[in-house]
Amino acid sequence: MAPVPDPVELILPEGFDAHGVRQALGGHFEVDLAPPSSSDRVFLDTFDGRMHAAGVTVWREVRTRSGQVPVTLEEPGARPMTARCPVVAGRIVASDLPDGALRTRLRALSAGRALLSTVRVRIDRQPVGVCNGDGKTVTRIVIEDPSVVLPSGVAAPLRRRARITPVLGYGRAFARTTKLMTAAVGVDAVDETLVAEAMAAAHLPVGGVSSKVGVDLDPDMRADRASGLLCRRLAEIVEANLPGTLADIDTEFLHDLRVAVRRTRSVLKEMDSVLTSAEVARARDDLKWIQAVTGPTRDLDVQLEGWSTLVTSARAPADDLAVLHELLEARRARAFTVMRRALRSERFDHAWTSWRRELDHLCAVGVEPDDGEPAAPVAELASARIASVYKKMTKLGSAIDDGSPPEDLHDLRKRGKELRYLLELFGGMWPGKAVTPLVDVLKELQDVLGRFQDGQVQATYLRDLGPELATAPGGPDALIALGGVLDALAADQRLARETFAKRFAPFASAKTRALVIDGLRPERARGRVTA
Amino acid sequence: MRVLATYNIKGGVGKTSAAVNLAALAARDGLRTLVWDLDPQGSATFLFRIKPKVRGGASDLVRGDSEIHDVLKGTDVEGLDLLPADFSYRHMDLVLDDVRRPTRRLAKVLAPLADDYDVVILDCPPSISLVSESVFEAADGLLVPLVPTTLSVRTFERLLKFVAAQVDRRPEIVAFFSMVDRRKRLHRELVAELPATYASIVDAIIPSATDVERMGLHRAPVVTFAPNGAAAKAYDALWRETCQRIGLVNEHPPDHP
Repeated sequence: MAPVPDPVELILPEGFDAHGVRQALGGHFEVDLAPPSSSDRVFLDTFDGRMHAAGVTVWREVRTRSGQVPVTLEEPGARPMTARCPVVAGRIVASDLPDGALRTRLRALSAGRALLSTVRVRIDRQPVGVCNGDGKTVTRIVIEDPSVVLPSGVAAPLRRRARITPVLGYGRAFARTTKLMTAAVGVDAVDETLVAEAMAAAHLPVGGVSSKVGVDLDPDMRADRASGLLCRRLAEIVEANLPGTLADIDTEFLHDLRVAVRRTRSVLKEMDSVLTSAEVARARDDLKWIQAVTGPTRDLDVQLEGWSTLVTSARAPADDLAVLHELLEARRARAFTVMRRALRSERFDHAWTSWRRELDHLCAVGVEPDDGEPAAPVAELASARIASVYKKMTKLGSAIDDGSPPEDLHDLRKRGKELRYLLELFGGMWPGKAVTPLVDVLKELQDVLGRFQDGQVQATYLRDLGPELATAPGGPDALIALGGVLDALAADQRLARETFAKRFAPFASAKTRALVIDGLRPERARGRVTA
Repeated sequence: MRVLATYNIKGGVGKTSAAVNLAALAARDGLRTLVWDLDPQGSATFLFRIKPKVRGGASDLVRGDSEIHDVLKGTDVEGLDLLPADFSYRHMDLVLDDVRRPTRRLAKVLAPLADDYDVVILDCPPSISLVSESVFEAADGLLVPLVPTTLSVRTFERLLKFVAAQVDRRPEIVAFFSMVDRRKRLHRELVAELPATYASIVDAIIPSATDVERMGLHRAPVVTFAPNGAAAKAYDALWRETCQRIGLVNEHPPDHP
């Protein structure tokens, strides 16, 4: 589409109404008032604020027919998109939208995450058509009187706005209208979006809840306290994602929860020389248990998320595989029930409360002068661990050849994960130019190793479903189609294995080695004197 | 993008009224909609209060010398745009005759709009010509208004035969009774009998109504200025049936304020 100017919003001064518009535009355009209307908008975003981050605004109306509501997406440089969608338990999922531009755009933006209600705004509107001599609307103005609907049901008024929207093919009229209106109002375009103003008025955080760790460590901080700070942030992430996991809002809640738990376990493992208390030892066991009880559900989420890709790559008839898909969904439902029970259990509550108490203790160590022998600085320990794991990986990887068993690649991947977590959690202490190239080559290597191992895990899982599948109605057809799926997985594994050497070489190169051994020395950490 | 065309060899049967109203209903449903007024008389363009003028005329448009996006105009109905009529369209047959693969040319002209619109409705001039053949090739659905008279039925039969014999990519034909006057016995009889013979005739019936005639006065679709009248409801029913026949997603028409 040829570029159409974005709508312009103006904050209107007290008392400026449709009459003010008529005065501002009189002599240049005819002004046609349409009947006023009022409706509520519920603004939507993912839990982690992907719409806000992308600069788009998404809302739904409140009125429903057969559970369907109009959903609209607006973004700069594009025309608004609207479609009707079911609202289930107050949330919207892009894949439930009908085929079309909005579904495509929202799927890309939300990446599988559900759209949740953020804030509700009531808007009284006075549409004003700006017309040419033929009575043709050449620009649209809507005077909006919005108010944010607070949880108590009380509507708190926001600032009156004029929204000026161009009509395709009448760019000059739009420019003229905007100029006249801006001059009459006396201010330039609006300083914040309606949704931002409403969120602020309702004291709601703009931009969603992040699952990023983002703890800025001082390289000289004692390692036990630094570990405590990291783990406390990770515990916050677990707690933020727990309600969404239990409510099964979307699969990313569980994913983010598990990543936070895994990272916590990684901190405890890498810093074990300074985290020696019995409480930490118990937390290690508890976190391992949490990881275990959440694992089956996540594994099945991965199977189901990759389903359409798998069916396509296997060139298997989707109908034949429907039974298998149903089987996976049924298993997922059972796994979820077990997981939810575990996460709501007394054991979980007790474990988490104890862990939180220990975290309070860890975060306070070193604050008082009589805390005993100080632990080593975090940069020193982290640097040593990074170098050690890197060396182990190069040794393991160099020994892998075409005849190596799959277990060797699995071992290497496990070490790779360890290194990845070390860099993610502690890498911020070094300049980006020292860490980023290492992360890049590691990521490339891990992608190959991940494809190899995930393919094998997936194939084993699907193969194990065989007996159950055989007795299900339509099972024999599914079993035949499953053969194609397993072939496709095996082919992808072969391809991944063939690519291994190519990806391992830059990781084990002298240049990368120098980055690790020299670039990530403790004394090169940020804020320290560089050697 | 789905392309529909309101078409009949005969004139004055309700093609433009159908095109304009169905387009307004499509836009109301949230579909990004475009009407291309192919009729040099420019009735649809008039109804949308837009000047019947296209820079470069039919020649530049068909040859691809003008950028189609630059000649589009927004209408007073939000979400509904117009590619206006131009008097030069009266020579469109000649222009088409002068290009390679003339019957596929209109589809080629529309191709750059594929990502911008969900529905395009071609409002065709009354004739059977190279323009018609190009419309048939471009359209997924042919909306044929049928005035219940003997001659109209005969013309409809000829159209069905022509499309079956000449067109490679056959559009789905959605015929509907138009300008029906239930006071007339012949109208009542044909409306009752013909659907049994022609499966392409849908249930929706557009009445001969004052509201439809007043569109010229209001210069707006009847579904916008008299949305609760019998004519608007008839167009609404026609739109829903068209969506079902063409496979357009419109199972959930919006709530009306």
